[in-house]
Amino acid sequence: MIKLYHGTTSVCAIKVRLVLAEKGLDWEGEILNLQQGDQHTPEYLKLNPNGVIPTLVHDGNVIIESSIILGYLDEAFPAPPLMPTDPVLRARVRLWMKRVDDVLHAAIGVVTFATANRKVLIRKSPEDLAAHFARIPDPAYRERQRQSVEMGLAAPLVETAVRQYDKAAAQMEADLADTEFLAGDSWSLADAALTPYINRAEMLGMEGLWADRPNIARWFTAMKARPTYGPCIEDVLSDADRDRFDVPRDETDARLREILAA
Amino acid sequence: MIELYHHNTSVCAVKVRLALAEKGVAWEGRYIDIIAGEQFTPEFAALNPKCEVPVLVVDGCPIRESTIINEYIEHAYPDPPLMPADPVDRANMRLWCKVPDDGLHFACADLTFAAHHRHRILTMSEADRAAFLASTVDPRLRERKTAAVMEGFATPFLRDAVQLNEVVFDKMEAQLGETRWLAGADYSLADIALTPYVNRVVMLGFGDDWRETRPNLAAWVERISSRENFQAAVNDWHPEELVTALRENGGRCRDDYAAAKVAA
Repeated sequence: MIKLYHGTTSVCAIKVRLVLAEKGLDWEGEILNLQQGDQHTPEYLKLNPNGVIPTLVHDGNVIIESSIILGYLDEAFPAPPLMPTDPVLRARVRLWMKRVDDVLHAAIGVVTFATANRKVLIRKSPEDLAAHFARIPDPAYRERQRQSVEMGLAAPLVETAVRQYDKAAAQMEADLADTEFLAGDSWSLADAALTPYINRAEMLGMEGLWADRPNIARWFTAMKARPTYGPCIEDVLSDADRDRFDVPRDETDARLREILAA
Repeated sequence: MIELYHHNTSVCAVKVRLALAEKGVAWEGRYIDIIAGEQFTPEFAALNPKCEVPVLVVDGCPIRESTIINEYIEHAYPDPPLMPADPVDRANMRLWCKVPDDGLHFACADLTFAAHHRHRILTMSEADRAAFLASTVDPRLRERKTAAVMEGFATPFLRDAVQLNEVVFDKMEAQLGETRWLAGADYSLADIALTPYVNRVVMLGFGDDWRETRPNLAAWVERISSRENFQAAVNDWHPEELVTALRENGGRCRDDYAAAKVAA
């Protein structure tokens, strides 16, 4: 039996939902509300001491870290295969997953907190907002969130995030030059990993990143056309989610262009 | 043809040399002197835009990131296996392999720069020192390296580095009380991933009390140090003068390390 602890909009959860869907697996879900701090309850921390989603439990075995969950699912359920057979292309898949973990995850978090989440958080009283930040265990993450919420799109972290995304987009464009997918001719864990990060970028108004990158545009259109895309990404959004992400996209677009033109 | 672009003491290069040695894979070395800045040549940057070692080049195809290189080596050379067969155990192995990537790597750099490298760097001219510190590509690493060199153990980065080390060592101690190796009954990429980082701490002398305080970890250190791949991948690349210098410099910081363990 597969159980996934996840969240509606969580980029890391989307990665896993996409793979579960592409593998045709049945699973039970438990939605955590991150805005309300469900990830910090003692019960959840017993499963995932890092207090983040998603967490997969398969026949009683707990697997954490979305990139590791992706690898686990591909190995525990080998059909259809989501890793290339060629070892060099396999390394390319892992490099994309690592880039997402090491760079893009923090980057899109910064822009999300500077726009969508900021919209919700600045409605809190100063005391409640301070308490919100105080609950965040990782000091580096706490500071990133604080700067993003306090300064919005003007935050220096936003400039860094945009530049990191731009570099990644340049690499995606190159990797997609001769192949349909990021690591060859089949959909792989690399495509699973990048889809939510490009989807989120678009939601926030960052599609200028691929205005002059036709390979990415072609790839993203193909990702959206897959039958799994709607059920895994758009259909799970609540009204509160849609409201939170109803942000002035043209402002993000303008800031993005300003940063990249400099 | 397998070429490895590497440096003698680089922790990530050690990781890859350990795997290659365990598998008995022949490789040609392309030595990059990272102290002299050879990683910044256009030729090397073409192989790795991050200007970091190691890079494995397989018939002209570069593979970078040591964790990824080792997964490549495991897949391309399945015997002897360095991964458990069961997917759950593999997931646990990969969680261990992620530990260096999630902070331990930066912490190791902080520690080495504060305890050892800074002595040499502080004797440079101001201009040479500034150029050296500015040459680090990753801005996060550049900030930490500068602080470690200029402030030694006084910088909060060192408090965080030491405390992260101690958390990892506690986790290893607990795991090794349950399983012989980090990912289960057999030696794996998890043990390989942690070896260079633990070994660096041991070489600096900060693990001298582990026989009493962390007996499982101490036993694991004995086992990994006596493997053939350790001789080929670690000992053969650490000259005597360096081993002595690391121990002496680390010894001078023993009190600083102990204070950082408990600092608020």
